[in-house]
Amino acid sequence: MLLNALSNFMKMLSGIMLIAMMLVTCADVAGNLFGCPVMGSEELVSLMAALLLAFMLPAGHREKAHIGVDFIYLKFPPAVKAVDNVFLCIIRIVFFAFVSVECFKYAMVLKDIGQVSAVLELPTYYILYALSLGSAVLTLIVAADLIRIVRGVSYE
Amino acid sequence: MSEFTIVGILGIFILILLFFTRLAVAYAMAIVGFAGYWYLTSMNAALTLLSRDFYDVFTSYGLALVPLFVFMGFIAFYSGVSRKLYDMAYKLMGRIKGGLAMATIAACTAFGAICGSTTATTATMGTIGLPEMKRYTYGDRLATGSVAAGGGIGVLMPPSVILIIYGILTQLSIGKLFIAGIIPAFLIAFLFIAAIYIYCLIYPEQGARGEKFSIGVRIKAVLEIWETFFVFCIVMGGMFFGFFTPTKAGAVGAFSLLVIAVVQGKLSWRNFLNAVYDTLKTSCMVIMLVAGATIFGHFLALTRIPMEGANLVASLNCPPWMIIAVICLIYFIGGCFIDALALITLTIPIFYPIVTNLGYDLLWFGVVIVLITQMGIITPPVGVNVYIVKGIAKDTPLEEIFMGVIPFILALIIGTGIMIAFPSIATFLPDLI
Repeated sequence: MLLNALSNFMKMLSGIMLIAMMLVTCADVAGNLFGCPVMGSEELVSLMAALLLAFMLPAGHREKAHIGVDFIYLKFPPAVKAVDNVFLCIIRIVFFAFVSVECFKYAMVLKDIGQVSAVLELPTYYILYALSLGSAVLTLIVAADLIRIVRGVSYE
Repeated sequence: MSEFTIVGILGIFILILLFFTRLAVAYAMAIVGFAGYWYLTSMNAALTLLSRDFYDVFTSYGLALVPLFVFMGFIAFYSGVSRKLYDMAYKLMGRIKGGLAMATIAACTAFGAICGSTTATTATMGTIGLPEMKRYTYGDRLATGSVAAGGGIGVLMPPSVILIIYGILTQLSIGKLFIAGIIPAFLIAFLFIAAIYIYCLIYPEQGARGEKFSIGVRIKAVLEIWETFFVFCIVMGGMFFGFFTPTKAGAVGAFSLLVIAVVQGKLSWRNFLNAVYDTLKTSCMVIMLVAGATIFGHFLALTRIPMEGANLVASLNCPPWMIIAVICLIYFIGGCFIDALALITLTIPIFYPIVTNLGYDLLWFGVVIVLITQMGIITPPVGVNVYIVKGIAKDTPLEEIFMGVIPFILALIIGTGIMIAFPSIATFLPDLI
């Protein structure tokens, strides 16, 4: 429940980023017509797009947004499906745990060296913190799926 | 064969095996790429690659256009623009035998000009077109086949998400790719309409004539779709004449359509939220695919498979057209099993150097492979558009729908042949920029 609430909250933040990206770009285009474009708008849009994606990672997984090839899986007997699901959960957990930790470490490196964006000089490390958080929540969601499968609760 | 190449081939084999487990294609590419890179270098190097690639892909300004164009499409989807488009096409073509099916194709083409999602187009046109065709006692095959096939025209019509991703992977101008897709999209729409006409000559009972409308009614129907025309002109005109970049075009298109829908009272708060959340889901799926392909591509580059492949092909004594034909066959077979977008992100790092070495125009190649993978969305066993139509026309057996798309598959094959024989169909407009 807590994970779902957190993932929904992050999805809402993602939605705000989407609208903000659109408005900033339109303000820049309109500003250009009158000779006063939004300074660093491309930078802002890139950073907001990154936040949009980072915050959407858990909900994207939970809502099965990603493309998979399932016509062979559907022919598996239930026992094989269960083993397959356990196997997939484990590799997803390991992979996204790696992503989360590595992004966190990379963020600390960028923070230490004081890396900022080229025009607006905004710190960029927080993007990696967001990505690390998104991957961590995604890892926990997959772990919760795994527990459900092991307990015999239907995963489909 | 070097150890690196063997590891690369093994990586591709494991990737295919992972597909059979139903692991998301994006995850599978990222995981195999990461594991392969780890094996060939070190764990530290692979972990560094992981964070750098995710960061670079997620903060890429070029990819920011994906959510914006997808948002434009979903606003169009939820604000009911499609009904007006169908109404216009119906009033123009309904009187001809099979005219309602032709109207479906025309409406799908027009809707594809503002919505880059084939599934959204199929679902919308299926909901509107199928009951109309049932009312006029159309045969199930023609009715369902035209919706399933017509929904796929959007993959060529700008703003096509697949063309955006192809452009990013090959570093081609997205604006030029969009423009390259326009004439082929109209060509396919024309071939589909011709296929319906011939089909109705052979099976007249499949497509009865509809109502006849006066010239005044027809003109009024055309004028009523001004918003689609307006947004398409802003987006494509802005890019064509260099007023703004594709990302800005996406934002302006989405904003214009949003304002029009709100002013006309066509978009409720609930539907606005649905458009936002559907956009987020689709964007996350698309950009994760690019991230996965980037990691996998770095692994492949390390194995030198793309370069070795290009050298091998260059050393063969085959004419270039034969190699292109084999690549097309691979896309055709692959498209039957894997989603078009996933297939393109997966294979472009391998085929891109080969096609470049052969001296073919990459704009043309992009349009041709998108056209071929379009067949995959209506052919068994995956045929996603067929399943969407089945979800709407619950009484129609799946086999009937697959039978119904056969004329359109033939039209697509002819279209691909025309595109290969006359590459300037795709390259003519971009050359004007």
